[in-house]
Amino acid sequence: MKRFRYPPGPLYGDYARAAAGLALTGLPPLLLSLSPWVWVPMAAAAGLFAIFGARTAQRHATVIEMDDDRVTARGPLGGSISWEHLAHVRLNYYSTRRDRGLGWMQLKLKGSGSGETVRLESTLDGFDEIAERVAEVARSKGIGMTDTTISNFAALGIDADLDSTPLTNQGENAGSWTTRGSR
Amino acid sequence: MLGFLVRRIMVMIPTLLAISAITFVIIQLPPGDYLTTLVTELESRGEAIDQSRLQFLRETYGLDKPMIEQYFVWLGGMLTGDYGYSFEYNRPVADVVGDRMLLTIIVSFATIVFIWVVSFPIGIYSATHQYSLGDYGLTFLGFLGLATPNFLLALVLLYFANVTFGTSIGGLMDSAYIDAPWSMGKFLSVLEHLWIPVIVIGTSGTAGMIRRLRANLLDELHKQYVVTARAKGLSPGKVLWKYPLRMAINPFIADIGNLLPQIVSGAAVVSIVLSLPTTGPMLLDALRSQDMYLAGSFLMFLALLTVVGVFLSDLALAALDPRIRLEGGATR
Repeated sequence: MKRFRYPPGPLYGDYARAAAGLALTGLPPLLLSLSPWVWVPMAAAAGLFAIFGARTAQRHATVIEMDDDRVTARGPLGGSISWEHLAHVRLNYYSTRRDRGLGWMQLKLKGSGSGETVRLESTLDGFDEIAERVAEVARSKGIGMTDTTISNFAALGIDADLDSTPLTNQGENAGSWTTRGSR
Repeated sequence: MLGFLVRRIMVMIPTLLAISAITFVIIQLPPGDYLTTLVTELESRGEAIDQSRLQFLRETYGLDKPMIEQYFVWLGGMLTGDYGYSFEYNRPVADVVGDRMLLTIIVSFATIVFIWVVSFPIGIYSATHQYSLGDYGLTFLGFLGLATPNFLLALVLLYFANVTFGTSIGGLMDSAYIDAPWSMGKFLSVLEHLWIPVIVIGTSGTAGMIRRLRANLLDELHKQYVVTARAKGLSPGKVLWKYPLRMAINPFIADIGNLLPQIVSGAAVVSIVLSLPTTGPMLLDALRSQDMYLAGSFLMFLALLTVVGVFLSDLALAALDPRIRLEGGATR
């Protein structure tokens, strides 16, 4: 069994974002008598930053375990999916930059049973290894994936397309992407 | 998606603060202030103003304070709903703007809906029926829309509406409803007058959108995966809706951010021609007379629209197509 954790560097960055966001959007509604037009969006943004902070703490406490049978997220709000039950795979890429650089990926796995959901972010140590295993299982089980997911896998140098030839013609950029954080 | 949302908001906050600072500096850049403009005007008419009264006004409006202090007072006021005082109208900015902001939002929203509702089906038709009679006809109309000056179209439509439907010339409502409280009659009167500015402002935007959607969709329809999908026996409708259209509307959605402020600021000339009680003409007057708080509030509103528009389009794009683009210059 292999164990992976989110490295502290990106987690501390997220804590800092949550704290700064909470201070900037949470303090004015508390300390000033804002107009409703300003109060509502600011309070909503403060709520989002609070949830983001809580989610970062949840990730901090989570350990991802992977073996031949299943992938498990151990920790608060964890989950587990056996490879046999894997039914839905989605790999998204997000970036806030205009050139779409320095982004990050999010892998969402859903099993056929209720409550079988695991979400992973690319800052996780060993993310590539898990993604490779997921693509392998998805191919062997014939799980349909969106065009977006397939091209994001291709960017990792992983061929997830059920209809494709082996990944030798994906271009020189394939597999050479980097994220903000540990990559 | 939560991470994206949070990071995107973290970009928005300093952007808005920077815009507010730049806006304040810009409205302070012309030499002098509103009071010096007033004194010059009075002197040109041979009148004089008492220096002690001038000093009193300067202190009352805070014009004697350093710029940085004025900025923070203005910024704090914006947060608490106090947008400052209009020197020109001698009333708080919020009172001066009054219904104008609401009417501007109604006109802008109706224009955006018009642009989308008209350009979306036409763009798809033009791309899927390339070089057909319909494509040529609609392309011709699109170029006509792009080439016709808004103010000219405004005058033509005003005449047409007056002669054909008896709609009163200019304004967004019958004169009986101006300054009257909102009622069903006033609302219907606004609706009766609304279509003219919506068509005038929306025509050029519609033409541009049709051209862009047509070009994007044609690019996608000629790609290999569409040929493969057709070869596999997918129906033409499914082939179109499943992938090419989704890809083709990405730039369409990315444009929302620019659309909002363009419509609000671009409508200024049309608003003057049509005598619309919107914010455009008032912003021009405020800039001319150095009515700094009124102009600053409008400029901040436009900046806010831009930032919120770009934010919404980024969110829509992230939800619609969260894909890495290897050819986009990213260091993947």
